Amino acid sequence: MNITTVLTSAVTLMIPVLWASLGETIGEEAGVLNIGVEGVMLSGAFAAALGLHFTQDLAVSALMAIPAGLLVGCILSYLYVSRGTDQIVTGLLFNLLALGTTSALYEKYLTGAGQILTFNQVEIPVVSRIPIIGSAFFNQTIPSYAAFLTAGVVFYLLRYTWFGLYLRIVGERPDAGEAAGLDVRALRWGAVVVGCTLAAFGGASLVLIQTGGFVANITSGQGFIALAVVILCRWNPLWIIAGAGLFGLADALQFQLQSVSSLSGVPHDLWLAVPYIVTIVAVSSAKGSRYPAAVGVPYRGREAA
Amino acid sequence: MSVTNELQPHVATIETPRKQVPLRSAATSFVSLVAAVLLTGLLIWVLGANPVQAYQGLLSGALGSGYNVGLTLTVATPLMLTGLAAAIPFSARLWNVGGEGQLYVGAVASVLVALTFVHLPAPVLAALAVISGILAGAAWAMIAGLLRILVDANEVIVTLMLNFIALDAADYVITGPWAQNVSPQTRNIPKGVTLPTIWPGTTVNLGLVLALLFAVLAFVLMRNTPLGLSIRATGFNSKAARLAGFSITRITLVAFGAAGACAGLAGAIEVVGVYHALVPDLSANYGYIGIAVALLARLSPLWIIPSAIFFAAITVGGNNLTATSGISTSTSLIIEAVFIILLLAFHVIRLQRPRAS
Repeated sequence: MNITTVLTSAVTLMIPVLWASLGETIGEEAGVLNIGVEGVMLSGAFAAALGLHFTQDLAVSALMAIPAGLLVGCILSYLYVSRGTDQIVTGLLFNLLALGTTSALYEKYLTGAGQILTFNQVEIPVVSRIPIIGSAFFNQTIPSYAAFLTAGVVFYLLRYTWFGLYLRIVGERPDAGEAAGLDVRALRWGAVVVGCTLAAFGGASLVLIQTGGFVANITSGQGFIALAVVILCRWNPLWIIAGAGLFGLADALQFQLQSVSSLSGVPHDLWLAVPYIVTIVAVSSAKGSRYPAAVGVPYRGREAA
Repeated sequence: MSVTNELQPHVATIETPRKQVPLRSAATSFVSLVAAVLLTGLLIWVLGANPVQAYQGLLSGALGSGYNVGLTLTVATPLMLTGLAAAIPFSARLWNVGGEGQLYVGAVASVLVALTFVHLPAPVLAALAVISGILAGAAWAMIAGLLRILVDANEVIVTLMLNFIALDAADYVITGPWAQNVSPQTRNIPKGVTLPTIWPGTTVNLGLVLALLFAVLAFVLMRNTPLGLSIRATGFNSKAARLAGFSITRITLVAFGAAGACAGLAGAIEVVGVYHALVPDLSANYGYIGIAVALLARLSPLWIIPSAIFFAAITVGGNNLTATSGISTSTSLIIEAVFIILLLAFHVIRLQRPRAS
């Protein structure tokens, strides 16, 4: 087993989850638990594959995630924030809706679409020659670098700007925020729409750096992994890099470890289950893994609260 | 208040808003259904098929002949049970979104039992397989219940994660030592180990009777027993329920155990009564559609019966769409999701927060 090979594929595999977790963090900090993130990723993946099919242009396909994310973000914001529907069941039903819609559209427009195209690796000079980790981290694709950069930006945005502060106020004490003059609904709308756009990039990067095309249910639960990564990493975008990395590593290892003789008796399904088990352990150790106080609670104005 | 990682409490009891008369709620439901049909019709049109023709195909697929009605009832069977698996804990505002995983664990347990104790007489083995499915589902769901009681772990996240662990376990059983090696599934369970067909000429089997029985039992449990009262009371106001002396521990365990038993039975019925093996995609999202079934039924166990038949009709009719209109069978999933989302958006279905305590 070659460590560099494992690390390289781990970094590639973690990118969609990283994007989605960052998007989910923004929504949750503002008090919206978007369980529909799986469906949002699926929409982004489909949009990118559609772009790939009609333009054969990778950059255009990646940017297709923006309209897709904005569209589903607006639908979800309308439901979660404006209509105040229950976030858990709405999100789960949205996942079914996205699964049905993308599968139907895929069967109509994209089946047998032969063109498989993915981003090439771009080597960053000097640092990519660091032994072992150099080529794993610094010989990646543009969407991968963008994901790491976005993690830094989201961290800065949430911790050091008024926008992040306001989001956390409406995520913890929306009534206090409104009393202080914040527009709770507008802030939550913004958070959900931005979050969905990042999650859509996650879906798009799944297509554009891993598979090169769409298949029905291509995300296969990665959105739920993102939900787990967010709580595991306690809403900290920098820790989320590590959390998504853990998932990528488990995923990469389950391919590699099958060739290691001493471990060949361990079924690969067990490795696949590791991230989910880790998550259950993490949410069970209550200390520090508390959701923002108002997560999951639709805001109906101060009088109603 | 201690620092916990639970979501802010919701009330899962479904109330019609005070001023809303039942008639208006029925009218809004009807409008939502029409809107869902129109929106999906638009999508069918985008997919290049004639919406009217597609809906005719859907109807005839679901109800066109005795055999098709039988298919609808066969799919309604697991949906009733996963509907109950959502409705019972939701009534105590416990969020069991793990019906899918509980179903798969039930299926895994029943297929393993049926493949292991092959020397037993067939009817005994069938009964044993079904019972082990029920117990395994209940045990799987109780993991979430126990973690909720012991360490206050968020049951939404735990049940979601347990879904994927259950899927991995099912995949292991399908590809592992029990694999059939011809197609991706386990070996078939012994001949004769099955649930007898109760409507000759169709696929309807004894599982439907079991599902109806469970729905009636759940109804009696919720309406006519002190335990059911305590579950519903917890849903209305958990603080008051606790002050009234109800044991939240007991309620949580019972709600999750009963939910898991129902979903586990659904998995066992699919294995023993329908597929006679564990197959990939045993459940066509039944666990998640069960949540929609429970919401449409407003968490009432008896209303879950027609609600499940309604969703089953759309699902089965949807399978007919490729043949009649050349569009994806996934279209049925769109109608189902859009319909319930519209009901949520129009506040026909409300999952409310408790009154401020």
